[in-house]
Amino acid sequence: MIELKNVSLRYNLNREILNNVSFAIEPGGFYYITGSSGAGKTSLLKLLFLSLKPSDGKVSVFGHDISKISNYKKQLLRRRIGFVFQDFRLLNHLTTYENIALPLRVRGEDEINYKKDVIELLKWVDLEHCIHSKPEVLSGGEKQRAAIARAVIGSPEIILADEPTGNVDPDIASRILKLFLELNKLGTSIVIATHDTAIIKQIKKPIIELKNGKIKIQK
Amino acid sequence: MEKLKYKNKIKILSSLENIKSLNKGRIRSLAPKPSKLIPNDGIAGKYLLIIISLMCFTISLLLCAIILINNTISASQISINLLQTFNIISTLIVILISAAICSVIIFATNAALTSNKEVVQVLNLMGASRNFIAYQIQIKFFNLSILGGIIGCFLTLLTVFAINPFYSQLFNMIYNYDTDIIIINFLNFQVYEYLFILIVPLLSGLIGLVSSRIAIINILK
Repeated sequence: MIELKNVSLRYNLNREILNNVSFAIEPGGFYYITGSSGAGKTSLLKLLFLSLKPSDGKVSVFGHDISKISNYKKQLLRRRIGFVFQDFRLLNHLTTYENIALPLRVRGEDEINYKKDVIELLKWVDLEHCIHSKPEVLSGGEKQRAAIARAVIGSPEIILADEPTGNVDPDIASRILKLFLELNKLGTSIVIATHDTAIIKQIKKPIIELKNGKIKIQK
Repeated sequence: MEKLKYKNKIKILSSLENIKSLNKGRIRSLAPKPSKLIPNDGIAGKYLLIIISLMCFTISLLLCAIILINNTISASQISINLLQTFNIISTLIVILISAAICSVIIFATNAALTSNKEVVQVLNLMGASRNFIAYQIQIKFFNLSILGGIIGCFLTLLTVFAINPFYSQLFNMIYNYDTDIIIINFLNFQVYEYLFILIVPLLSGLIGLVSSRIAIINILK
C-alpha cells in the first residue's frame, strides 16, 4: 500500500529528520508512530500524505512514486487517504455537517447522494446534536470526532492521524481509539502518530519508533 | 371592551406562534443548505463592487459619447480631424480603464487568496483539484464584475437620459455650430447601438473571470 525505501528527509542542509528509513504499510494494518517531540512523526505522516517529497530515496503510495507524480495525480491519490490533523483543520465558516461532507464536495459529488451517509457518520461519532454547529462552539473532543468523521467519509483505504488524542481527555481519547479500531476491523489501514504511551498500551499494535532520524519497528 | 382586547391579543399571539412554527418547519426542510467554501469578504467585496461599478460607468459613458458624437457629426456630413482624435482618445481611455479593472481584480484575488489561505490549504489537502479551488474564488469575482457592469451600465443610462434634453445645447456650446448640424440625441439610437452599451457588463464579467483565473492559477502553482 505505502512503501518507503531508503528515505531521507532534510529541511535544510544541517537538520536531518529521517535518515535512510525503510518500511512498508500493509493493507488492513494498524500502526503507531512514536517518538519524542520533534522526532519527525508529523514529517513522516506528511511524506505518506504527499505533502512532502523525500530528499533521498523512494516513497511509493498505492504503487506511485510520489517524487514523480503530477499535481493532478497527487490530488487523486489524496482522495484515497484520510488525514486527521493535530489541529483539526476544520473550516470555521462551515457547519459540522459541511465540514464532514467536504471531501465529497471537493470531488464534485451531489449532496443528494451523500447527505444520508454524512448524517449516519455524524450518529456514529455521536455528533448528531452538532449537525448545524460551527467548529467554534464545539469542544476539543467534538472537534476531534468531527475531524475523524471527515477523514472517514470518503471511504479511504488508509487513515493517517497526527496526535488524534493530543487535545482530549483520557475518556474521549479511549473513545476515539475505539473508533479507529472499528474502522480497522472494516478493512481500513490506520497509522496513528502519538507520544501518548497510555493509548499505545490500551490497544497493542505494531509500533514504528522514531529516534534521531532512524526507525525501529516493534511488532 | 377589555375582554375583546384580551381576545384580540390572544389571537395575535397565537398567529405569531403559527408563523414561528411555520418558519421553523421551513428552516428544517431547507437545512442544511451548503455554504460557500470560500467565505465572503464583506466590506472589501462592497468596495470592490463600487470601484468596478464606477469604472464600468465611465466605460459605458464614454461608449455612449462616442456613438452620440459620431452619429451627430456623420449625420451632419462634417468631416473633422477632431472626431478621429476624440475616437482614438476615448478608445484608449476605455482600454486603460479595462486594464485597471483587470489590475483591481488581480489584486483583490491575491488578497482573497491570502486571507483564505487556510481554507485553500484544507481544500488542497482534501484532494480538491486546482480547477475546483480556482472556481470557488473565480465565481465570486465573476459575479462581482458582472454586477458592477450592470450597475455601471444602469447609471450610464440614467445619466444619458438625464442629459439628453440638454445635449443639443451642450454640443452647440462646445463646437459653436449654429444651425447646419443635425443633432442626433440618445433617443435616436439604433437598437444595435444600445446593445453596444449593454455589452459592458459582459465585458466586465469576462475581465473578472479571466483576470481572477490568471491570478489564482499563478498562486496555486
